[in-house]
Amino acid sequence: MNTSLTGALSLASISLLAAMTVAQAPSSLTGTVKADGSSTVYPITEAVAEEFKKIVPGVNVTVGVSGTGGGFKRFCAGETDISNASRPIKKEESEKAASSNVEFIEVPIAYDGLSIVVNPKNMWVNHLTLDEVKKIWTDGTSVKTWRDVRAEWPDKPIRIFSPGTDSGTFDYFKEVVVGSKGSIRGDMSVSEDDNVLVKGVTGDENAIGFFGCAYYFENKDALKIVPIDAGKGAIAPTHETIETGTYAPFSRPLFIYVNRKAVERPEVKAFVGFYLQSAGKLAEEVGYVKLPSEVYSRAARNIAARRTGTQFTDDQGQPLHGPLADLYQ
Amino acid sequence: MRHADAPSLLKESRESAALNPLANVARLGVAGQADSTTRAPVALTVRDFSAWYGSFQAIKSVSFEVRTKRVTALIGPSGCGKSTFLRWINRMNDMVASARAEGTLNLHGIDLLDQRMDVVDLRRRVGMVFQKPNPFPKSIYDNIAFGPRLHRSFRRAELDRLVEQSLRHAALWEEVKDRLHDSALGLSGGQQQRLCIARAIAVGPEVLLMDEPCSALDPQATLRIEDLIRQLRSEYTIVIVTHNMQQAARISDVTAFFYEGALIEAGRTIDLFTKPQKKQTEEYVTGRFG
Amino acid sequence: MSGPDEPLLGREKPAWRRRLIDRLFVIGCVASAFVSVLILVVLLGSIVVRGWGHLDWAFLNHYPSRNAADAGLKAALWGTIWLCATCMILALPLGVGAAILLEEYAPKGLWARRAHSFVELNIRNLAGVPSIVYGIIGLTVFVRCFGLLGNPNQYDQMIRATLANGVVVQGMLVEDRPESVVIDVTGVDGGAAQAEGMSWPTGVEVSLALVQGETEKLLSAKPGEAVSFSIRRDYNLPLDLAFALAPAEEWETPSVLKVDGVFRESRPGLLVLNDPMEGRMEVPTTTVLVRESFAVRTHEFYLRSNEVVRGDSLSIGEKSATLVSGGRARTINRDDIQGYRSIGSLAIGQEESFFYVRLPLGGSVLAGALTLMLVILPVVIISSQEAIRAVPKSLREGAFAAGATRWQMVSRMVLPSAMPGIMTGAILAMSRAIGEAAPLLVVGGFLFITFTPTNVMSDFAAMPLQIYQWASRPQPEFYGVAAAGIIVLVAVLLGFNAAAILIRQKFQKHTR
Ligand SMILES: Nc1ncnc2c1ncn2[C@@H]1O[C@H](COP(=O)(O)OP(=O)(O)O)[C@@H](O)[C@H]1O
Ligand SMILES: [Mg+2]
Repeated sequence: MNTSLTGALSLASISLLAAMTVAQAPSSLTGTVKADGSSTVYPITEAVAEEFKKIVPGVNVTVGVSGTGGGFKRFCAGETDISNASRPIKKEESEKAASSNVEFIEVPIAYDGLSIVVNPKNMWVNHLTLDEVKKIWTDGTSVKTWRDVRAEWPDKPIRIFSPGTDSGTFDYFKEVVVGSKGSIRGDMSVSEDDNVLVKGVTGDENAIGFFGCAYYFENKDALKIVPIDAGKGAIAPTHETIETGTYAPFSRPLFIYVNRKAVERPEVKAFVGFYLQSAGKLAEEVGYVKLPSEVYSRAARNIAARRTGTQFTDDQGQPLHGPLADLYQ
Repeated sequence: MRHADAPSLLKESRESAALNPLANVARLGVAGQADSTTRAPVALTVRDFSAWYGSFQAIKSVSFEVRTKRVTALIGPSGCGKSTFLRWINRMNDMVASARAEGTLNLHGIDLLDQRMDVVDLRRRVGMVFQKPNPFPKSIYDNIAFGPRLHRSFRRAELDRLVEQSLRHAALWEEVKDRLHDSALGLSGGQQQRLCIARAIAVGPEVLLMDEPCSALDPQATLRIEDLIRQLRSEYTIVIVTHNMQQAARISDVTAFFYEGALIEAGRTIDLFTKPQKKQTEEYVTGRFG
Repeated sequence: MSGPDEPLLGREKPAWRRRLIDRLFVIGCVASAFVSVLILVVLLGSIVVRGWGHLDWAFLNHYPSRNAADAGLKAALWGTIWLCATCMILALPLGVGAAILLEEYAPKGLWARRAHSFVELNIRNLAGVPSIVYGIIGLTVFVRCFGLLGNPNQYDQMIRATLANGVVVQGMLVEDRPESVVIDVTGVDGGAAQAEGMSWPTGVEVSLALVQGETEKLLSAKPGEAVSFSIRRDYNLPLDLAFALAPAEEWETPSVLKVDGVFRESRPGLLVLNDPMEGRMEVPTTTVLVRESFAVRTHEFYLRSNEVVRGDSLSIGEKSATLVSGGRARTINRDDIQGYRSIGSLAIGQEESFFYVRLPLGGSVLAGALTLMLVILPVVIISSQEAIRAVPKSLREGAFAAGATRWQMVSRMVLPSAMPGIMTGAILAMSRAIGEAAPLLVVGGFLFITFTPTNVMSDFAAMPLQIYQWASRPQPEFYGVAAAGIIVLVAVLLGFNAAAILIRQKFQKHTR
């Protein structure tokens, strides 16, 4: 606890920090940690907060689900200590933060794979190329039937299920498929509740849909996964392919953003330290995929060094793409 | 005095009625003795009184006098302005946004048309009974106690006494004394109307206004109310609107005949019915129109 | 027109056809009633079947969890109860008041009449506005107070430290280092600093970075200069718990009395404190706005004999105080004490009364309740207006004729008669408020929360948010948990409605 944190630290000393916080004063640390944001990240933060409460009962951690955008609105106004996000912070959002004197530390905490699935009775699809995915989803496409995708497939209407346009999942899918400037076709069945999408695809032989991998992992028997060929052969999402980054480009990192000023409060410091320590294990437990361990150590180092700002946009504020382990230093 | 002590008021007014020679004379018979009617002091002076609803003139320059402790009946065909007149006496027309009036309306020296006049105090002195019995959706007891409670605070026993006195006065006590805390809505129409009279009496008014109090009642109940009015006559100045000529003849000392907003004729009831001065009056009281 | 001998005009409608239509109508009514009841039964039935297994004491008494088996509704349940109760307490008087104004105090002037009908029309329109819009209004107006009053999260960083020399420094925490803290000083209080009239401009960063013991420097420090001091983190040393019952100046309510003393006991509705000089003090808890507690370490007593006694307090009683210094205990009578001060106390925490209010409201129960109030206010106003309008004119006239003033007429005649209708409206409004999720999300309702509200400034969770979150989780085990949540939600709703119905019946006693 008394170790100086103003300087680069390795992961080891961050773990030490958490451990010592716990060992030294299990009952005396008090205070409040406020987190809000993405409903995708919520289950991970909830799990971490649940475990943290067992060790440090004096600290009240509260977690909200205003959505990634809504969470950033509050975070950038300085109203929350931690913002859960299923995408990197946008340029406008970090400008808003700067204007209200909020500096943030960016911390990736897990992967979420996007799974593209069809009905198990669908005998014809065994993989899709990235180009075919683009062909299906780009706005103004001529694809109305499965035959329009690939000539040898049956002439049956294609029915598409998609998460709500406000969700981080949709944002990420759109970014990969049509880029930030393009738009996705409008004639889809949309629901904010991913379970509804699962039911939709389960009930329609001609359906195709996408959502977070957790929903696929939980409903493996009722769905048929579509491996994606992005140039390196068809790859299906599994814990391994996602963690190693082979399941590109449909795996996305999830983040927490921490208010730099808040990190100075012992309760926030302790919580974030504990978060990094346990994120991998707890993320897997609630259906996500853990990051490579060197990413966690980099995050720990960045917290210790109070490294602020995002690493996912270039100097002009344009989003950067690529494997997380390459982008996040 | 009257307003200072409502519970004792009923008794006091009964005593004063007993002491008042004029009241004794008046009790001798309905409109029987020629001079007793006109010799009673004036309660309400009406001079060139006109009333409007918006631009419609409902009362046209009416002048006459209402005498203390007499029953004054207002008769006339429907829509001739009787209710309007009555509702100006206790300023009930304040509830109607378009209503206004001119002229003199003076109750015991109080200018009733004065905007600064205290209408709450006026309504304490001028009770009103409506055409359709309007008991409050409360117990019989609370109905009677409603008015007194507005103005004064009581100890329980005082209020009990006042309620009993008022109900006795309205000849209702014997019928309801065992169900004082039951809903007033459970009473029959005639009982309800007597309850409304008792409610008006309970506040201790000098004047009682009654707007066709029997028109919603059956003949039996009507007779009971008429009896009651005859009893109350010795203590209150009563102004009653009625459609029923026989009723006016039976209970009133003075009758005023209104027609299309104008006062055609006013005088002792017996005179008005036996030797009307105006042809319209004669036609109306003999039932040739109306 | 037609006499008895003339034939009737028109064609006779066949009686069998009229009877048939009548029959069909009845059958249609019964069928549609049956279908809607059937749908309801199926819906409720399936929810009860799925949720019943999860419904037990633990479910009501656990906080959220990632494991379906451990997940509980405690925070959301109490959050919703606090929200709805606060909301109703605010919305009913306001809504009924507005309805009375609109119905009973109709203005006479032309422009006033136009304004009146404009307001009426708009209340009707507001009833149809999506609740998310109210959420956004609530966020700007209640949660943030237009940003005019600072950041609602600010108070978390407030530090108040009593230094070893008796000086109290308070301010915003900027950085918490292991050996020291950096604070933006907003005030300095007590000791020589105040005696010398030293003023500290707000917002100056004072670094307190040297070791313990060199505390004297603070007395001569200038704003912005580094001074030595330490907040000790060993919280385990309280000898006595002293409560300062105060919103000290930092809570922006300066008109409130501050009482200091050593905590003796807490009885229902009463706090008993001992003060070395004043003796026993009893403070009604209803007057307590903020309760701060400190661990008091050292006291300095100035005796009438001009002696100064300094030591750790062993006990401070009604008649005397016992100090320990250098291993020796010394008891001093209250009468001998001329003055005293506590030294080296630490802020342990603070508690607030349930009606404690701070601006901006932040994502608090009060902000949520006010936002829900906006959502339901049009419903409350309209239904109260209908109820008031339904009171017969004859009752109003009767009351006026008995000499009632307008207020007496409204309070003794109109309100009691309209109360059943008003309560029916309240039930509808409550049913809407209890199920609202969107506006609460916007004003910052939390989901994971491990405490229940203790005052209207507390953070809260709410049942609809929690149920939605459970229902949208990937793990199928959570569907049952969500169903159990729905059952509790319906039960709470029925509970609130039962209360409204009881009130309604009380007023309906004499209307039949
Ligand atoms: N509130 C009102 N607004 C406008 N006109 C009214 C109102 N009340 C009564 N009137 C009119 O005034 C006239 C006198 O009415 P009213 O005094 O009730 O007659 P009566 O009681 O003799 O039957 C009628 O023509 C009636 O239509
Ligand atoms: Mg009339």
